[in-house]
Amino acid sequence: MRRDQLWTIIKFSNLDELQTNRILDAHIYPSKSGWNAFIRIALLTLGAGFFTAGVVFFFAYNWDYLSKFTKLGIMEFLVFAFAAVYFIKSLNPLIRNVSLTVSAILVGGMFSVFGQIYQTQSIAFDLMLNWSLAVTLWVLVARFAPLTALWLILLQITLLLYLEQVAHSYNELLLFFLISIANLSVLVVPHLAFRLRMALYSPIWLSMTALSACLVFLTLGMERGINELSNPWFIPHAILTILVLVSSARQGFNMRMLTPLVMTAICTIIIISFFIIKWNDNEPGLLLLTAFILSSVVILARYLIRLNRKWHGEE
Amino acid sequence: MEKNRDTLEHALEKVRSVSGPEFDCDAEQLLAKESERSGGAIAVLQIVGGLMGAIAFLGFLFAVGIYQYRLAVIIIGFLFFAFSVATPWILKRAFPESVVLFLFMIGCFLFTYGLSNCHLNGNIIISILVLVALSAIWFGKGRLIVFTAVLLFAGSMVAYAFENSVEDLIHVVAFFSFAIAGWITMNESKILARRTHLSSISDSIALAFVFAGIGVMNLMNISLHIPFNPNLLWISGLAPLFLAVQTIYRRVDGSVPATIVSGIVFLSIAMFAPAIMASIAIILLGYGYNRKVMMVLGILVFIQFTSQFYYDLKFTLLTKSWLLMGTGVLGLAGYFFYNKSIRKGHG
Repeated sequence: MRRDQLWTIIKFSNLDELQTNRILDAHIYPSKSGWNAFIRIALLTLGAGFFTAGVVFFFAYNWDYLSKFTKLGIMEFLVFAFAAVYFIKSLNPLIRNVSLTVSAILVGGMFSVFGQIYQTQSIAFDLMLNWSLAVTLWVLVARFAPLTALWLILLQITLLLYLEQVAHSYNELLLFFLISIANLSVLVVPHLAFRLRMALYSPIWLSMTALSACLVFLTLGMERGINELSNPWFIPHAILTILVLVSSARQGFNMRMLTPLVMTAICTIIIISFFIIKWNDNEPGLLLLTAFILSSVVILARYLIRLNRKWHGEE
Repeated sequence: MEKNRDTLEHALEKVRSVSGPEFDCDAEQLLAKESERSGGAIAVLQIVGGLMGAIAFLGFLFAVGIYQYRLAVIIIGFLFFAFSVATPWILKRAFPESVVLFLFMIGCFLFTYGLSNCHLNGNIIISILVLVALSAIWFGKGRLIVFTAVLLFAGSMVAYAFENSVEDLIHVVAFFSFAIAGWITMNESKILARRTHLSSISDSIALAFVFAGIGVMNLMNISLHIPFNPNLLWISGLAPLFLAVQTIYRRVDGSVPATIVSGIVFLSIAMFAPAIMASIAIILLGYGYNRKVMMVLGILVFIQFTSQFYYDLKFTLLTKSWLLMGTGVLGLAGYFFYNKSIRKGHG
């Protein structure tokens, strides 16, 4: 039962406070078993997260006092120990995956220790690149969404650092293009795996996060491209943007989900607004822009509300 | 419409099974009712659209030079505000929420801009804005205008504190923001059973007060140059502490020992880090009363406030590391003990 249904029933019935409370308890609020799962996940995540952060701070403090061998030894031991937990099959899969994620975080610490001890002259880009490459295999093997999310973040930081630290005169639009592709991979790979009859589960929150990150970078790229039409990467970027917007909308319709449809709608409105401003940078242009935004949002919201009701069998 | 009837009939069955024989309803009228379902994602589209439209239109108004006419700015601002509140009532039908929000935001901005250009006393402007916000909460039809009006109200209170150099008043704003949000969330059945206008907008008011509370907490965290009295920080943590303990007592475990233990743990957090306490209270409220947006918001601000807390601590890295590892070990120990107790319970 949904809240809006309960509200409708209350309006046309004699339900009093006590009865409403009973209905909320039975059909809307979480049950005892739901609370148990919630508390367990919360405690495990908090415990693993705080402990890892503590280890990082501990090394940061004792840095100068440790011998080179100890520094590397401790880091390698921690990486190995947390990764080894993953292979204890009798353990709860959640614990094994969380342990592997902690190990993946520690890999970054281990590389930075290595860089410092051997004075490799490496820059932050090198660290991030190696870090992302080193954990790629784990990401593929574990298929654990938080680990995939970590890898995705690492990959994007690597690309951004490449622009900042390595390729100073690099085309910014190409970078947005590449970051969008990286995010897109999280969406496309499970889809392809499904087609190839391989079991690769990707939770909806990860897909939606990757899609929103992809759309943000595509929209940012479009803004740059519209103001710099001669950029050679504008056309490929625009084609990719259109493809992603169309597939995102299609996926929304296929999966009967509003979120990808709303994200597509917002990005399309923003991109068209950039075009309007580019070619009408004056008072009538601003008025036209207002009219466009309001009318499109009103029409789309109305359409989506009806669609949502239809999907949930209410029309 | 036929399917809406089916799902409502199904829901009605569930209600009948829980509420007992004294339950009575006007089934014909109820089943003929159109669903009020709209979805959170659509609200985001409407907010973004309303905001973008308002920025574009304000850009147009300022480009044509409206700022030169103070009186015109105030009158137009007032008219936009009046339209935003009155139009849905006059038309007596659902009016696009993005347009209502668009009118309300432009109205508030122009009204404030016009009044501030008239060299009025700051307190008078703030009082007028409070009146505007309260009337929009009271008369406004739709979730988004009420949500924005609550934010305007809380923002005006913060502005009042700074205008009169009583910065510590914002602890009270935080306290009341969380207290109101918590009261509304916990007393859902009481509010719904009254069948008033408040019943239909209570969700938006609660969520907006949560946003307002988080905003005030952020202000305390980032504003290093504002002379807050650190000894009064506990005031902000008081309401979240009470809300978290109440949620544990009401929704998780009604036993007194469990409530006392959680109360002691939460009290220690509230004393040293009221912002973290606030985020924990939001997560518990969000999960315990099935408010998904509140819960996601709580998790995000928990990560932010916790990182900020440890970063700002005036300890050496070593002490910080022990503190963090200690917290981690406590969390993991809690996990194992909790798991064990559940298994024992099942066994």
